Amino acid sequence: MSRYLVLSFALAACTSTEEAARVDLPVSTAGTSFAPAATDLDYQVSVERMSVAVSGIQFTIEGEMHTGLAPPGTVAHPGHSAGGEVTGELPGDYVFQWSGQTRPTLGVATMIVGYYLGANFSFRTAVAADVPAGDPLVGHAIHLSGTVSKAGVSKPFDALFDVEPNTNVIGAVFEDEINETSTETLGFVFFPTDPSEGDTPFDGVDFFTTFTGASIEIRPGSDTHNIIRRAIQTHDHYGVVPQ
Amino acid sequence: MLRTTLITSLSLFTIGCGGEEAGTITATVYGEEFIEEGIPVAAGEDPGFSDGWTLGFDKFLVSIGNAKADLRADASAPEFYIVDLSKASSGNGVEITSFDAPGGDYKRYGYTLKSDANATGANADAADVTAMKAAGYSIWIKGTANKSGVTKTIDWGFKMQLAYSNCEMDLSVDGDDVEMQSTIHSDHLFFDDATSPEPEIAFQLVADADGKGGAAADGMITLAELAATDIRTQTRYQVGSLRDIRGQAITNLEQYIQVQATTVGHINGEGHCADVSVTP
Repeated sequence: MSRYLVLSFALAACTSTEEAARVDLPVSTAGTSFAPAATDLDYQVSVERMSVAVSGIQFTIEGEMHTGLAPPGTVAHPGHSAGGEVTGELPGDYVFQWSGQTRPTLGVATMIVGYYLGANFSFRTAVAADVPAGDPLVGHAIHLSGTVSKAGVSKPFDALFDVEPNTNVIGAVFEDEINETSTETLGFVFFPTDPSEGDTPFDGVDFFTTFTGASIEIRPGSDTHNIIRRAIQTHDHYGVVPQ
Repeated sequence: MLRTTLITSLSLFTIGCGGEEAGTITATVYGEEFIEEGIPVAAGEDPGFSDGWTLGFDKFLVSIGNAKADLRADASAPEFYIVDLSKASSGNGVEITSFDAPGGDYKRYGYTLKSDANATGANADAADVTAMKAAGYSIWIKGTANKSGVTKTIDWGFKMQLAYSNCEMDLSVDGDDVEMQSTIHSDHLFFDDATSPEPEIAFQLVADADGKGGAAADGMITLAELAATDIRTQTRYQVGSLRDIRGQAITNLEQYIQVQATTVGHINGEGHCADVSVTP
């Protein structure tokens, strides 16, 4: 009898190894069109098509960067996952594509049930197998096209961006309670205007002074590329909406 | 029989706690060769500036304290000390304090860089101690950079408070003294990318700040001139989603270097502190 008491004390000290409940949910890009973005220099930038080569999609609990949980000015050491605990993921390489139309499912993410507040992914360089032949995204990370307007003048724009390998978006906005009965599709979105602060990736660019021709072509190596890239690769402009 | 069993059970748990004896933890701080001897030009496998500059530190003062192991009040030293890391230490760094610690395993360490009115000088000159406290600096750097006959000087004082925590420790105290070294990596100030795992160390953009914002191009690079240096058109100096110490978007070189300054604190050489709380 006494031996069993000792054993029960020992067992009581053991941590429970019961596995958390999981559910598989489809991941896609949201099919909505983009609203025009009003820049700080009074341009209206209408993004009509956007492609982003990504990898390592993750979903996190308590990881959204705009929560009030962290005191103002608190900085996480680089390398530390400031985006919360990763409890859902879709490994592999994908291309986010937004064109105002519903897109096919990218894949199925395995999610531990819980209250989600953030999403992460990494930029990568697109390869030929990612997109149809002739797609300008090949060799680059981001492709945008649309129209830039100001004072009644409109010009088409086409922009390609190169992003350093493994540049990560940590803490894209995502709020959803996922349980064993969840069936929603997790749709990635791009925000041409930061919903929290109202700024755009195109701020600081004087399009019509820099590009005096009939169209605007933004390519790696230019100042315009560097200005827009710096903002467009931040978590401010990405999110996930349950659909 | 039951009492024997209970005592046996309690004994099992005590053995699980280790039974180590109390000892001490000695806190030191070290700036490594980069601060004591300067940052050279990169050569082969040897790190240094990638763009041909060299930098020698005339002073590299930190106000450091609030050492704590495993967040335990009975294994801590709240006092602050002002240390000049540019002074030679024979590779040992500077001992700032030694404090009692209960026996057992320790997993985490923490320390803070901040200005403290009661800080005492560890090895710093008395005048520097007075000046540091009067200015409210947590870090104060003075140095001279050279490249191809061109000389630039820096004199940068930072007032932000940096509380490093969850620093890798994994040591045991058992009737002995263990040393915990707060290691300050000066090269972080000159990384040309805030998010890359392998940035270059560079000085040219800092040197080119001389005269920016209407200041005199006098060879002295001030924080104001750094603030007048827009980094948004730079291919390098990427910051990802990082914000400056006040939560603002990083657009100039002063903001960038201030954010980099928050990353200088390490532990026992290359060990990392998982968290740093920054107060502007």
